[in-house]
Order: sequence, then C-alpha cells, then structure tokens
Amino acid sequence: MRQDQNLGTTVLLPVYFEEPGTENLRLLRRSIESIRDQRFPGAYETLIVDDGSPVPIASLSSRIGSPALLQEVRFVRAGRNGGLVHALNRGLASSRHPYIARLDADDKWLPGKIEKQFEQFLQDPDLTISATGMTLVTPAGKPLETHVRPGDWNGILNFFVEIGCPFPHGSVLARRDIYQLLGGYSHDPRTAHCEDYALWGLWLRFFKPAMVEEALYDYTVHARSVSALNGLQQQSGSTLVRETFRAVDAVDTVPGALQALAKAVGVTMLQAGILAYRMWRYRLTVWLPRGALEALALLMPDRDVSAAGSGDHRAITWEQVLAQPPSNGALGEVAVRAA
Amino acid sequence: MDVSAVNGQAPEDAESSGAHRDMASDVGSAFLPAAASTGEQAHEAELERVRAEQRRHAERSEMRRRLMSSSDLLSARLEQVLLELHETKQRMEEAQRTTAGLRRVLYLRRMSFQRRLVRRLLPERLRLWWDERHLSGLERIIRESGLFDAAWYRQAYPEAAASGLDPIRDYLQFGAAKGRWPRPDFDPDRYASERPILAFLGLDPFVHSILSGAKPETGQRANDPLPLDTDAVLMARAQARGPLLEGSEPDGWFNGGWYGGRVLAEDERFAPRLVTPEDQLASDMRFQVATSELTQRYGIRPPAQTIEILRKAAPVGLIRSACAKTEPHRDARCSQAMPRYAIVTVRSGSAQHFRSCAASVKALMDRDYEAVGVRRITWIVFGGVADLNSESVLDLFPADMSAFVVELERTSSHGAGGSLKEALIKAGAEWHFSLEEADEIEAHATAVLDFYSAHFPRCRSILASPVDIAGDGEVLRRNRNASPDLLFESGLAPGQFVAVRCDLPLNREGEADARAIDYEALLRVALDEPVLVIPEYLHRHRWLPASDCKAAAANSSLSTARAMRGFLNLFAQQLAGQSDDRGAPQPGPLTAGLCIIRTQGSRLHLLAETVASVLDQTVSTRPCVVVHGGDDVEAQVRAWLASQQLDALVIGAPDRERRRGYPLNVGLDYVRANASAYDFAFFLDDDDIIYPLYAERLAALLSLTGCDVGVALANSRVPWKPPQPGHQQLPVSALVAGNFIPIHCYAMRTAFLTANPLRFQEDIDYLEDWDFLVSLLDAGARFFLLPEVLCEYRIIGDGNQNEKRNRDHFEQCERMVLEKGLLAARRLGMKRFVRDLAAFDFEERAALSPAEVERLVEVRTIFEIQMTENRR
Repeated sequence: MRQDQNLGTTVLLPVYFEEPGTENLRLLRRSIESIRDQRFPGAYETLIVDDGSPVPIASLSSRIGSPALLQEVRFVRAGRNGGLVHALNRGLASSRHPYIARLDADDKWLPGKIEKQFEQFLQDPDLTISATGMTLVTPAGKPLETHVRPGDWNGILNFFVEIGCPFPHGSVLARRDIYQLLGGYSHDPRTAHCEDYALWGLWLRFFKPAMVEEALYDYTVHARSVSALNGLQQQSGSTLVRETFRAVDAVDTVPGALQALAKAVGVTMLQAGILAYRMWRYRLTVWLPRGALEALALLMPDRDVSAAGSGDHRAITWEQVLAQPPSNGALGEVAVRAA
Repeated sequence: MDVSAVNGQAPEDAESSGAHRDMASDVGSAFLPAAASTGEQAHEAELERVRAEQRRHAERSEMRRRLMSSSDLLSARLEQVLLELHETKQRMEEAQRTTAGLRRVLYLRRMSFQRRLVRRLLPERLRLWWDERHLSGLERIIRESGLFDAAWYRQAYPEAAASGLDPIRDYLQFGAAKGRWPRPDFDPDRYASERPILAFLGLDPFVHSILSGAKPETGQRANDPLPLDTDAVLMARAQARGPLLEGSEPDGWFNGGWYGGRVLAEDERFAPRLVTPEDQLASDMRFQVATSELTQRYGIRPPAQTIEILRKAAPVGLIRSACAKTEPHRDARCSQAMPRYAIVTVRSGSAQHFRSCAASVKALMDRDYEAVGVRRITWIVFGGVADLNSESVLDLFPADMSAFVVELERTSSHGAGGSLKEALIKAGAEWHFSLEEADEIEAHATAVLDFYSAHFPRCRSILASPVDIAGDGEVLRRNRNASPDLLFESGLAPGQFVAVRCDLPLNREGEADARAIDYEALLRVALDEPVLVIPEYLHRHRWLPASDCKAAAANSSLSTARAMRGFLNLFAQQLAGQSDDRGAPQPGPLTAGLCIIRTQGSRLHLLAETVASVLDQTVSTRPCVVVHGGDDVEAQVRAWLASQQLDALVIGAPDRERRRGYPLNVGLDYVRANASAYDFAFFLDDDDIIYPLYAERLAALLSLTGCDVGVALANSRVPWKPPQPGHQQLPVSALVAGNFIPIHCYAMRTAFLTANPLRFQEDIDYLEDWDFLVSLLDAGARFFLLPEVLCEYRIIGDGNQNEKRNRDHFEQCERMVLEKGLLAARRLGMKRFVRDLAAFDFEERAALSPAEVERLVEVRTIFEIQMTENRR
C-alpha cells in the first residue's frame, strides 16, 4: 500500500433502539467519542445505520451529543427493523470510504487503536483485515477480563478451527472491496447471530489477516447481548461454520498456497486471493500458468480443480477475472477449471 | 411473492403459495376474538388442504403413469429378461463351483502335504535331516517370539523337565501332541477347534498364533500399548504368511472376482474356492459384524451428502452398463512373462508402524527372490526411511538388497510427480502399486500378481481388498470386493490395493501423468478398459486411532465427492444432449439492471419498501413498477410513489381480463424495447424485497460466468419475526419436475431475453412462474446457481386465495407445466442432467430432505425415459 493511497474509513455503527433511553444514548455518545478520539490517517465518517428504530435515531441528535461531536456522523435509516445483517450490509452499500471499521453502539475503542491497525496495513500491502484484543467491561465501564488472541496468520487460522471467532467484531478494520467481493455478511438464517464468524470463515480461506496483540477495544457485557439471547442458535451456526472451515483443511495450506499462487501468476497475494475466490465462487475456467494448478487445488479442495479439456471453450484470462485489461491466454498458460 | 413447487414435497416446501397462505392465515387468526371457532375452522381447512394435497399427488402420479405407460411395458419386459438371465447365470456359477470342488481339494492337499510328500521322496538318511530342519524352523519362530513360557512349562509338566530337553523342543516334539499348553493362557485345542483349517493343513496352533499375530486369550487388546516386536518377530510373521494360512477364513474364498463386467471363472482364480452356501452366509455375517465393530471403534462417519446423493441420483444403470462393456485398450500390449514391480510408499509423518511395513516389504522381496531367482521388486519411498525411533529401516535390508530400496525426497504435497516417473523408469518396473507407511504387504503378493497378469495379459489395473488390522496387528475385518462396474456406487475401500501397469495413463487430459493412483483415476480407467478385481488379499491396511481417522475421513469425503463429480462430467461426454458449456463470458461488467415489479396497487406500503430496496442497490438498478389494473390504479400508484419520494418508472398493464403473467410480459416487452439501456433484468412481487447487495452479486455472476440466468436464494419472513430459510436449490434440470426457484430469485441477461422471445402464459392463474423457468431451460438458457441468500419474501395474509377457489384450474396448470417439463427433458437429454448434477454443490446447502432426494431420483427417471423415447 502506498502512503498516498486513499486511507479513508467508514465506521459502521448499526443501531436499533426500541426506546431511546438515557443509558442507550449515553453509551452511544461514548462510542462516538471514542471514534472521534482516534487518529485516522485519512478522512473518516461514522455511519449510523438506524435499523428501523421506532424513533428515528437521527431525530435524537441533540440528545446524543453536540454538533461538533456529530460533525463526522452520517445517518441512514431502514424503513423497518430488518435485523443486524441487513443493517450491516446496508451500511456497507452506503459507505463512502475504502476501509470499514466496526463498532457497536454500546462499545468503545481505546486511544491509538485505529492508528496501530493502519500501521499494519501500511507495512503489508497484502493485508486485508486487522483486529485487536478486547476487554470485557460492565455497562459502567468496569473491566472484567481481557482477551488478546494470536497475531500471526497461522495463529489466527488455528484459533478459528480450534476455538472460535478470532476477531472481536467491534475491533475489526478491513478493506471494503474484500467485504463486497465476498458478498458482505451472509443473510443465511443458519448462521444468524454469528454472521461475523461466517464471513471470516470465507475471508480467511483466501485473504491475509493480522491482529494487534493489545486490548484496544471495550466490549460491554450485559444481559441482552446476542450470545445471551440466542446462545443455542449461535452455537449451531458456529459449529456449521467451523466444520465447513475444518473440512477444507485451510490452516496448514492457505498461507503457503496463496503465496505459491501469487508467485506462479505473477501477482500480489491480495490479487491471488481475489482470483482464487472468484474461481471458487463462480467455478470459473481461467487461463493460468501451469504452476498455479497445484496451489489452486490446495486452496479449494471442495472444487474439481484440473486442466480444462481441449473441448472446453469457457476459459477467460486471469486478468479478466481481476478486471484488468484482457489478454488472450499467454503462451504457456493452461486453462484451469474449478468445477 | 409467488412460487410454485410440486411433486409431493412437504407442504412448506412443495407449494409455497399455499403454504404461505396457510401460515399467514394462522398468524392472522391469533388476533381474532372468536379464537376457538376460528381455530376449528382453520383446523378443518388445514385437514381439507392436506386431503386435497394427497388427492392431487395421487392424480399427478396417475398422470405420469399414463405418460410413461409405454415405457413401463418395455421396462417390465426388460426386467423379466434380466431376471431370467440372472437366474441362468447363477445356475451356471453353481455348476462351476461344484465342478471345481475336486480341484480345490487337490490344491489344498498339495499345499498342506507338500512337506510330508517331500519327506517321503527323500532317502532314509535325509529324512531325519528334513524333520530336524522343519523342527528347527518352528523352534526358532517360537523362541524369537518370546511368547513361550518355559518356566511355567517346566513347572506344569515335570516329566518334560525331567527329560532334559529344551522346553520348546519338548513342546514341539512331544508336548503339542499330548495337548500340553505352551503358556498358561494358551489352549492349543481350543485355538485349533476355532480354526478347522489348521488340522486340515497339519499346522501347530501355537506357531500359527505367533505367525498370524493373534494374541493369547488373556493377552493385550488393540487399545493397549503396542508390544515391542523384535525385528526377528516382524520378519518371521511377514515371511510365514501364505495365501491360505490365515485364521479360520482362507483368504479370498468368500470374495468375488471380476474382469470388467464379468465374474471370474473358477480356473481364472489364483486360489480356488471351497465354499458352501452355509459357509458363505457365515462369512457374510462375520463381515457385517466386523464392519459394524470397525465403524464403532474408529468413529467412522457417514460419507458427505454429495456422495450419498450422487450415488442415488446419478444414472447408475447407464454407468454400470458403460463400465461393463469395456474392452482392453487396442494399443495395450501383453504383460511380460515375469514382470518387474515397484512398490511406492509416500511418508506422511506417521512413523509408528513403518518398521512393520518395511519388514513386510523385505519378506516379499525375499520370498519373490526364492521363487524366481532374480531381484525384480523395487521399493520407492518418498519422504525418508526413519522409523519411530528415528532409525533407518534400511538396516533390515542387507547390502545386496539396498539397491532395490530407493529413497526420494517428497517435493510436492500432491504426491510424487515427475520424480516417481523417473524412478519407475529407472527400476524398469512394469507394474507399480502403493503401500501406505503403516500397512503391510503380504509375502505372496507378487506371486498372485504374476498369476493374474499371465491370465489377463492385456489387463492394466488390478484391485484387491485389504485385510483391515488394528494398531497391534489384530485382524479386524477381511474387507469385501465390489465389481468394477459398481466402482462409482461403492467407492474405494480405505486402503484398497491397486496395482497398475506403467503404460496405463492415470492423468486427465491436458495434465502431466504423476502416476497418482486415486479413486478419480480409477473411475476414468473403469470407463475406458476392464479393471480386474481379484479375490485374494494382498496386503493389510492398518487403522489408526479414531482421532487420526476423523481428519482423514473429512478429507477423503471431499476428494471422493470431487472424484465422482469429475467422473460424471467425463461420463456426460458419452451421452447425448445439451452440454450447457458456457462460452467465454463477454468482457466487462454488467452495470445497469431493470427490476420489473408486479403490483395490483392494493398494498402500497409494502410496494414502497419493495421499491426502496431496489433503489438501495450498489449497482444501478431501475425499478419498473407494472400496475395490473386500470388507469385509476396506475395513477394512484404513481401518486403514492411520488409522495414517498421513490423514483420509479411506472407503466400500466390495463387489461384486467388477462392473468398473472400479463404484467410480467408488459415488463419484458419494456426490457426488450430498451435492451441497450439494461444489461440484466429481474422480477419482484410487491411484497418482496431484495437485500442491499442483490444486484451487485448477480451482475458479477452473470458477467464472470457468462451464464444467462443467475439464481440466488431467498429467505421467508413472517412480519416481525426473524427470517427463515426459503426454498433450497436443486440441480437446474430438476425444474422439469417441479419448481424450487421463487420468481424474485433470479436475474436474466437482457441479451438472452432479446434473442429468445419467451413470454409468460397469460391464461393461467397459477404456476406461470414455473412455466416461464421451464421455458428458459428449454430455450437453452445457461443457469448458474449461487448459494447465497439475497432476497426475501413475506408471508402475509393476502396470498393467492384463488388457488383454493379454483382447484381444478390449478391442477390443469400443473399438468400443462409437467408435460412441458417432460418435453424439455427429452430435448435437453441425459447429458444435461448429468452435467447439472455434477455441477451442483450439495455441501453448501442444507441437508436434502428424503422428499428432495426422491425428487432427484424421479427427475433422473424422467430423463432416462425421455432418452429411451429419443432413441425410438
């Protein structure tokens, strides 16, 4: 990533208040203040997605905070309460900046969080997503316990398979283009209440993550949390996600295979991830250097990856897949299909 | 929203319109004051609906029966002929078995009395030497095993101690005949009584127990720590195994043997059979019990959904027939009289049993050398030769054999690749087979392979079942064979033995031949030339602890499913019909879409939300509201949308006499008239919404895949409740038998609509959406199913109640679309069905219900029947 690139950030903050009580508004103000106190390397906006609250959140502006505090805040509102996934995807669709950060209305960031995450992005052009450790706190802000998870790629993959969701959702900073490439958060009811884990399950198969090994995010624990209200459903969804991920044996293969694919095709690891994801998702037949075949087979054991038969006329170039100017299958390339 | 599905699905799946309506009615009734009365009515209505559903199902079946009656007659006659053929074949096999009885007895006698025969032929002075040689051999085996309890023996049999003879020698010369025990927990008589073959062959039970690895009755079980076998014991066990010496069930007797589609004749088998029906039954039962115990002990999980479904829904009859008809490849030369063999072992990091594996290879090499007088077996090991103690197993091999063990680096995680080919050429091998690092090859393996390669000189692939063993060598099961034409359905057994000739290509077209022997390669071979399945057991496959097996099984499930899909694609090439091969997609993204929204103007609040969901898309998508009603309704809709500041195109469909397809056709006419402005189009009803990334996802799909119709999934939602999964996808060809794609779940490429003037039926009130999808399929549209939820339909109280009012019309519509589906199936052909089946990802969707699996089988039958009709 170059220093002069657009490093703008949209902070996605979905809100649904059944009642605009004082405590809700206090916590929301605290969240917005914690965003304001960050040092963003570029422009930023706080996008409050009002998920059909009976009283529009925008109408409560004066109770949330001063005009100065809300200077970078933008509101979008859904006509009805469609649920968190709908609100998040609506926010993605409405965001204006190339980086997406997540925060919930009752949580807050600690100073320096965004800065440290962007340092990682600036140092590693292949990085697509960064998270931090978190501290569980009471609504009054009293710390309960701290969680800091492994920071390296393999550690994150291992954590995913052995334990669960590696990224505290409210600590995530990620590329918007990858969010959109992967289709945003899944609306599949089977993964309701673990929509983030389901998305990372897809993300980590193809893209590089990192973690700031510091607790820079306060997660507020209360009786109405998603885990408390929908524990069983969340558990069954998480099991489905984990088992799916485990079956593709990604832990030991993804980092090496992505590097090998990037090297074989002559692209960055980020581009290799985009190429592999699109081939997997859309079962594409693509002209590729022969050396790419093995790496792709490792990345997608759930696809029939092979050199296409001579009668297969569906092949497109990898440049087309990456939306680059097309070529017509360079010399020495073989059409690889992921059926 | 409106979607229709048929063919006996559960109500919530089978008939969405009705199901939604009923569910909506239930929701509504909760708010009525006369709850009890309404409840009864609702109950009655529900009962009536279920009865009606049953009636319709029966009538549908009758209709199909009529449509297929002529084929049924033919099928029945064919079945009768096949039955007669089968019975005749069975009688012939029985006769062959009886005739072979004498030969079998002679063979066994030859084996068991050979030693005594030789003794008789020797001069008197050499007979003592012969006996001593024999006894010394047995003595050495017992001594090296460490299992003989000499102290106990002396104490238990004082007369033996008094004789002054070595206890082992005493046991062998006199004790065994007198029924003495070699140790306190081994009863030779009981052991022998459980294994009648020992008496027949004149083998000492204790020696046999040592050689076969069986433990004394109070000895260790599989889960106990492994005994520290000495190399001598390992070697003794490996060397002494013979084809007919193991346990109570002689190897291969109860197993089948086939060459391509035909059963091996008795004189084509290496080891003749001595089998009565009772023996076979007992053996079959032992196999079942052993399989069940193995499944439980190692936590074997059922195979992946894809495997189960493909085995049921694929045209297995056609596949069997194709595999059974194969002939030896015309370019295949005959095997050499004394072929050279290469054993290939790829290390994967489990060293615990590698020394046993090496000992078995050494024993095979020794036995083979004794038999043929030259060294002709090479062992190629990838990834090191270290055992559990990090010592090289090469110390088992004397210097003169070291040249026949080739150690290679494992350069690729995908197998051996080019270096294996080089090594095979260097070894001059004609045949090669794999041996896993924890498995053991039998010492008679090459003798058996010699026999079969001589009898089937143009055969290039030989399969044998494994003897499954536990970590400590305990025999768990003698696995069974299946004929090669069942390879697709039965799969490869874990640890199946496969030997292939080096001139048999194992690669796919366009790929290098890495000599990887896997299920996929074998399926390809089975479709191309006869595979030989032999009854004998040539190796022992060691089962590792359950934790290891679980990970391996998940991986194996994926690769098996992948192999089956690859095979189906290959098999489809042999079939007639449409291929659905997409041409290369047009470069450039699809940037503009049109959403045709059908409304009668009766639920404007819902319409506003529908239009808003279209306007929220990230890809430019124009809402085109088609108002089915008079000018007044159209004006009302315009005013409402303007008041809500919703920018939508509103066009009228004023003819109230025309039915539900009419407004959609008005929308299609608009798309065609403005084709240059829109790259794709899709439909919505005025109570549906699309999620924010709907257009972006489907546009990307159409653009990248080059397909004509991109299909997503929908949620269903009762207002104020969380969304629930809507209709699940099936292979596209299944549309010929029922609908599973709601009308708002797919986007069509405008270019396809322009080239194909398809229209909705305007004279039907029901199933016009299913009819349109069948028309798309029949017109050759290329579908792509995206297993992502991108939209939502709502279950509300004003569903199409017309259905209840006009049941006869509904059934008339259903018959019409079904007939259209049959014709589409005939035109599309079996090739299209097989390709669709192979392309569908069953793992990404929820588990199929039995009704859905049944539907797939039904669809296959339809395609099979239509294939027969086409041939006529």
